[in-house]
Amino acid sequence: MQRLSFFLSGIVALGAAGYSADTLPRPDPAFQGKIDPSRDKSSPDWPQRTSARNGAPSVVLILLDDMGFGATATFGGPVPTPALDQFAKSGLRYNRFHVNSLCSPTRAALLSGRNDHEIGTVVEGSSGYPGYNSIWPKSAVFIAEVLKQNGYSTAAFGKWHNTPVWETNPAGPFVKDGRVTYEVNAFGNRAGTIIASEPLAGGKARIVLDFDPDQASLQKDPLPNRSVGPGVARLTVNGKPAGEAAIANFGGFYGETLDIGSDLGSPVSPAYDSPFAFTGHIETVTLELR
Amino acid sequence: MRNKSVLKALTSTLLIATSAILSLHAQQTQPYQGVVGRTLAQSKEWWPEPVKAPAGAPNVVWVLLDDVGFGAAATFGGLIQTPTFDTLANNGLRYTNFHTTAICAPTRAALLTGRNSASVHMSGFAHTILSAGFPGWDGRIPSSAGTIAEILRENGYNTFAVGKYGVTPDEDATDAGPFDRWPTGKGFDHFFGFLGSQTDQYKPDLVEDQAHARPDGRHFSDQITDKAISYVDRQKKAAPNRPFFLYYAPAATHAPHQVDQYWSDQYKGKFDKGWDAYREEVFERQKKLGLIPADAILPDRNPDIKAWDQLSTGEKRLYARFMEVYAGYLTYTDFEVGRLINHLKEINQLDNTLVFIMIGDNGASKEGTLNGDIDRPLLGKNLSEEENITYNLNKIGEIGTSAATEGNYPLGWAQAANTPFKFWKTDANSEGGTHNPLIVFYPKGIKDKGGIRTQYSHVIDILPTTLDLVGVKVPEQIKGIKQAAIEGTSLAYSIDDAKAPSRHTLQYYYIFGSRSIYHDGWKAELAYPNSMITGNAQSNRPFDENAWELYNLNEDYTERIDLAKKYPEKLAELKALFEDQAQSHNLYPYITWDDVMNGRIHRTKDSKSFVDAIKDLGKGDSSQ
Repeated sequence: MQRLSFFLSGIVALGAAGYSADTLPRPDPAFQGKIDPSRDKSSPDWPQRTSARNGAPSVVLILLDDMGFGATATFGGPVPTPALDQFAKSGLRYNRFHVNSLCSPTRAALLSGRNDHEIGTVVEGSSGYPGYNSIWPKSAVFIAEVLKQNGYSTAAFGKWHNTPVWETNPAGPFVKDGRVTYEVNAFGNRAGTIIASEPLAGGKARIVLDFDPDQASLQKDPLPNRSVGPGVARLTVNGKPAGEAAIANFGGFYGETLDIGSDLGSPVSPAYDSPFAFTGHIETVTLELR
Repeated sequence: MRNKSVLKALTSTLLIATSAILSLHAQQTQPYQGVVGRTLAQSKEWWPEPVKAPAGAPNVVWVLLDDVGFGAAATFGGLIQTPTFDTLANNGLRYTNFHTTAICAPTRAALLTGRNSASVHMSGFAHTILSAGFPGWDGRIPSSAGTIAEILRENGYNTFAVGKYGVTPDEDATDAGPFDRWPTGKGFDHFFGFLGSQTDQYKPDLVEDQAHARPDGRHFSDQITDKAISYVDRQKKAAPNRPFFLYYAPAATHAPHQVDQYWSDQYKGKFDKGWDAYREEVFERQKKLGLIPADAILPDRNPDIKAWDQLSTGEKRLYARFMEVYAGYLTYTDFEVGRLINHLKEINQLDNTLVFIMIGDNGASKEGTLNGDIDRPLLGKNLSEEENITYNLNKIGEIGTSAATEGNYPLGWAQAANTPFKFWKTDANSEGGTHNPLIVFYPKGIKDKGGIRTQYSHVIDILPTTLDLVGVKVPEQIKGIKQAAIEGTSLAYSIDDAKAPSRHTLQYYYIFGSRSIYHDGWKAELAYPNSMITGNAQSNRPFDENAWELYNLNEDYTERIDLAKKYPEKLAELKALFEDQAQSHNLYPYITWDDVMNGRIHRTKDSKSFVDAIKDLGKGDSSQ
């Protein structure tokens, strides 16, 4: 049976030091030169880094999201996928490959080479058991760490979905590229109203919702029921509906962006109406004009 | 499935070893305390306790300025206004006997690790031409010397660094890394600044986290302050109860001295009386403020420095302008620190913040040479003094502007900025190189507000002091790597006790030939004359390894009376102690400026001459 763990084993074997028993990070190497008070009588030695095996290939891992076996033309489906065809033509098609039937478990298994319950995902559906708490154990190192410490540069793009929801802190405010971000202070649970601290100029509004990841409240209730939706987020301007956006059925709202798609008059005091039920605490709502 | 078990078997050694020694990660070491049954109904949930800082642990801010002498800031008697430092010192403590290593990278490495620079491989720099393949010299801080950021992060702090870093090897400072010796690899959640030693204030060689970034044209100090504030705000918004550690290290007041005219204009005419008058006035102020002993005597001018009265009118005009710009540059730096401090006050964090202000990572710089420098590289064409003065006078309007890419004041002013001490940055033999002001501000932890502390202290003491005051222990291991002992001495004992005897009683110093050893008030020292650094070929004296001097700092605070001939046994005892320290801290072999300039260290097939290589140090400036 072909499973995800192939990936980790295959990549490590291709790229780096293989399976040699090793401890990462490696301790600093011992000095092999000679030391004397006089420089002339000393001989230098430099701590060497582990570099990738000579000719080690670069590795690109592409993972698509929510796609069935029969979708792509490459595997007989109706949707033309010429780029994938190209890969398959000059490579191999594996037709008995399996994933975990859900996103974050698949990702955890893929990156770690271990079964998903050893990592403890699903992220939003976590509960206080070792197989489910979404706290990636330090004992399950993942591919990037191993390759990085074997001479690779590593980068990840796109969806991650393997960080406990209370650790994905909001990164805002975002003030860059000429965009103006208005920050509005917290309002309480459930439906609420926010008042912008400055008049908003005209433009398209974007609303960013963040839960309060304060560790203290998580201590009391480490995993409040964050399953919400489906629902609708509404932007109200001067008491009149100014736009709305559907919220899909999902768990956390960390940094979730809702495009309201409304033109705001100027100046306005926007209000945010949140009719859907949730028990988390919203700390800030950011209105970003674009 | 067979493949899976093979994988497990093959990697288990690695993984078990890794997990067993992660003693810092509380999450991983707590045994599971819930009940796991077959169904949810038969089970009981349990969550590991998240890593948290000690209850009420304060935020920590370390401010480290660059190239500022003891007698520059008004807070320590100087004639350059530093109102933010005044306020912090008047509500905190002035430490008047604090020391650095006499040059930048060794000070920074020692500060971040709480260990001596040689012990953490940074006797020189992390620059290719200033490092050598020996444990004390390779410029690669070992993982057995964890930094303050690694320790605090693993104890529930967010960790931020902005400004100059200065201890990443040149070879690693590219966008390909590796990044383990970048700030983010040494425990900082975020970094915004530059990795090298010197950078243009308006076109800095900017890095954000793990990639080079484009500067926006504002002054570097302005940018890093904004970034520091945004790091703090973002953290407090997400986790209001979690403390942060911020390492704020502006490029100021290192060369190039560049600052908006608004700041330098405030000093118009203020330095026309010259550097001799400055020294005398500052010396009296320092006595009046109780910062130096009442019986201290101001040493004579350093050799090669002319009396101000003997300078030509043109020289006076030129040099006074250099100092106006320098003073504006320092006052502006104080202003930026003030923006940060005021912000912490506005968000109600200042009362629970522990602030260390180190005014200089070494004494005032002598890289400005005898006549000051506007845009001539350190090792540019050797002009005579007269040519140099004419050249600078023709460009006097450019001093302090963005065109002053190498802006630095002349040696006479650097000496004055080191009042009451002799000599300069890089002179590890002299207090002028190593003696810097330290302010500790901690509203909830300091009762004697505005007090003065005279205990001998060194930059390696800041880490253990910090950990002591926030209630965090030094870990035995970090990421499985056994940690070497901290070599600094916590100053916590002196916070409430002005009269406590010094606990840091022994300290060696060594920078490329110049060296000294301090022990219980006595100090033996050996200078290493070097024309490259003074920029004055005429003053080049040969190095004499027997020219040790001996001073009793308890009676002779400013190192005026050499007792080497009077007490040869004392000198011999201290010299032996120095050898002992050198050996035990991996300082051997003794590498000197001559070795550096003649390319006797770090030779590779691509080795460039020293002159060519040093030009590369600032190349980031032009690549933007």
